[in-house]
Amino acid sequence: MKCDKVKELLTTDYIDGELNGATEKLVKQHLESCVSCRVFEAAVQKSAVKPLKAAAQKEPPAYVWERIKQAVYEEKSSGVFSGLKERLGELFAAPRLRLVAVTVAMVVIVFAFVGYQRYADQRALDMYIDEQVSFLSDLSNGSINGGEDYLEMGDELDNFAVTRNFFKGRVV
Amino acid sequence: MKDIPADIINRASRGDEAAFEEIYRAASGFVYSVALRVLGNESEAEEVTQELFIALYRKLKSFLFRSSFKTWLYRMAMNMTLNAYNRRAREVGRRADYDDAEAVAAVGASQPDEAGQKDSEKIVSELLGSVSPEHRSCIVLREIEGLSYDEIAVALNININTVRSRLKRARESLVARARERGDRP
Repeated sequence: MKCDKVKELLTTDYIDGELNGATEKLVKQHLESCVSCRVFEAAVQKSAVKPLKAAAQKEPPAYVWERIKQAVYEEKSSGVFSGLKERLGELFAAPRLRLVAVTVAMVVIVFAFVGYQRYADQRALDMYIDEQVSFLSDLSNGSINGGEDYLEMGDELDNFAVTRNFFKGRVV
Repeated sequence: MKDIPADIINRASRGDEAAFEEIYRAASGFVYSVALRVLGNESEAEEVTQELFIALYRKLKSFLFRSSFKTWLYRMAMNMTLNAYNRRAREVGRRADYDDAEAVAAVGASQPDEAGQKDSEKIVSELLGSVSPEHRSCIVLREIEGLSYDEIAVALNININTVRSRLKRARESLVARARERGDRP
């Protein structure tokens, strides 16, 4: 094994005990005969491994747990809707569920829009027919005066009557 | 990190306060230490610990034991720590400015005549402060927490060869730094 390869392993798998037995043996054999690699190994141990390995695990101060406890138990006791936003967020965090939710929302919006348009059109038509029927019936009863224009309309009035009957037939 | 039995996790997920506290006692040292070593700041490490355990409490119900609880926690801890680091970097300004300032501070604080007076904690902070946060995360998980390469790869969501190359570069950089300071092996 060459020095470059050994030095690479000395900064990674060898020093971390991740090598298999055979490769580890080769590295050890190389180290026995190579001063430069032995010096390098000592440098790695001294400057990059031992001081860090000696560092103890730290525990958080006691008040951190007190704050966590207060936050989670307040949330728990604040009712059934507590954390709902987060739970819904988590539920829809999955890409597939998010896609389904967006698709359903879009379909609902499109149907609602189309439905409303049809309802609005029908309502406008109904109102128009009601107005025309009411107007023509008042006119024929003589309860309103259509004015000089209506007296001269002739054919147009006949057409109105045909239209009225047509719509009345449809509506009724 | 101490092992946490499945029944403790199950009980905690059903709202058992004692079980949740047991999880905290077993895992908070790991979470706090990792955050402290990577961020180099106690109050930020406390915030990460607090944020993580509140999130954990909410997420416990959705833990399905598809992966080990430890692995899940390693990943959460690293994500939150690196998010906190990036958030701070954004607040300070451009990332490059921040890293430069941090590197200068680390080098400035490590003059040879001062080194002998520092306790081991300061030496650890200096060593970790002299490498990038990505390399630091790997070194902390490996040297201080004793995770295997596989566990580090999962915790950081990176390839195992990336773990290897980050550890290599970090250690080479620490050796080069010691040489510049005139240290002898």
